[in-house]
Amino acid sequence: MARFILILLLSTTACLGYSQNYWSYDSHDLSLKIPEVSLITVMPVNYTVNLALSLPSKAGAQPGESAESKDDKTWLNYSCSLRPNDSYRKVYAQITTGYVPPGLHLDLEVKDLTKPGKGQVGKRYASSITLTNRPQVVVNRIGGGCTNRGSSFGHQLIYQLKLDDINQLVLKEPKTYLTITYTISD
Amino acid sequence: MKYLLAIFSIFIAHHLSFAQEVRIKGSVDFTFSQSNIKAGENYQLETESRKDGVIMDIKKLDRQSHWKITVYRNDINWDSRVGVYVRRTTNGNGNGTTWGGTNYVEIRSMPQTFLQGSGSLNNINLQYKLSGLSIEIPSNTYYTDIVYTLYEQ
Repeated sequence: MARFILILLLSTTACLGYSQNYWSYDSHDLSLKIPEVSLITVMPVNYTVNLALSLPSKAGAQPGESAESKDDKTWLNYSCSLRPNDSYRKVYAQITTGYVPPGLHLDLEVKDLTKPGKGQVGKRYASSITLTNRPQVVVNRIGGGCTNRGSSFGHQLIYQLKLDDINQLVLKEPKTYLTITYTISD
Repeated sequence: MKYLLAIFSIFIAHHLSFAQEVRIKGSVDFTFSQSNIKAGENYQLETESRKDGVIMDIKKLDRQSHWKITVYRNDINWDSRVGVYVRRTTNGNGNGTTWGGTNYVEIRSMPQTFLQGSGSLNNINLQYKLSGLSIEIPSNTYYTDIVYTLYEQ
């Protein structure tokens, strides 16, 4: 038995003494926090949409639609990052200050993207809506993605002022100011 | 026999007390917020940590001892689209020298050589880079474990 232990000790000592690949290890954590993001803007920033009905070209004719009653120079941009298994986001549009004068209505057409975004961008919800002070869905199925930023990126917005009934048209002020608000939400 | 056991114990104790070791101090937290981007924008594809957020020490080696460090990552909860890279930003100080590791090395799930050198060194600063960042990656906090292994050659 003593001889066996002696051989074992000598073998172990020899192994430790001549081993060429001693090793040691250590580690640390690395974390990455990505927040939930829902950002939306209308480009170009600080652009004001001006719409007007053109004057009748002859006596007896009604004010008509013209280039002045339509604007297609604004674009909806957004970035969205969702939690796993979150539902898609939507964009709502509504008039938040001011009102459309009686006899007129303001239509909004939202186009789908013509330039690629990144990830899952949304789709327009309807070909056209009439803007009111009630929020209406204009884009849906927005997942984790972004439209890219700037005019010509994202969803083109086309506003058109239309005449409903000239008999109701009573203009108290030469200009009416409206605020259109876009909200990205569940 | 008792004397033999005592000598053996001393040898083992000596061997273990002078066994080389790698020690890592610090950790890395990459945090984004909504203020990092504007509406319509994506995250920048790459981001770097501080140059001295993590410090590596290589201890208990004499000047002639050659070694290498390998690195791999052990994902706890990680998005495979995000790449992790490391480089050293200092040479460290001590009786040793090191080479390699000044350019970013991608840290994968399999160990690969990151640094080589000889002798003991303290305060080798490590910097990390993430690639493949995108707004498409679901909002969450992701974790991985970065493991360094020292081999004496």
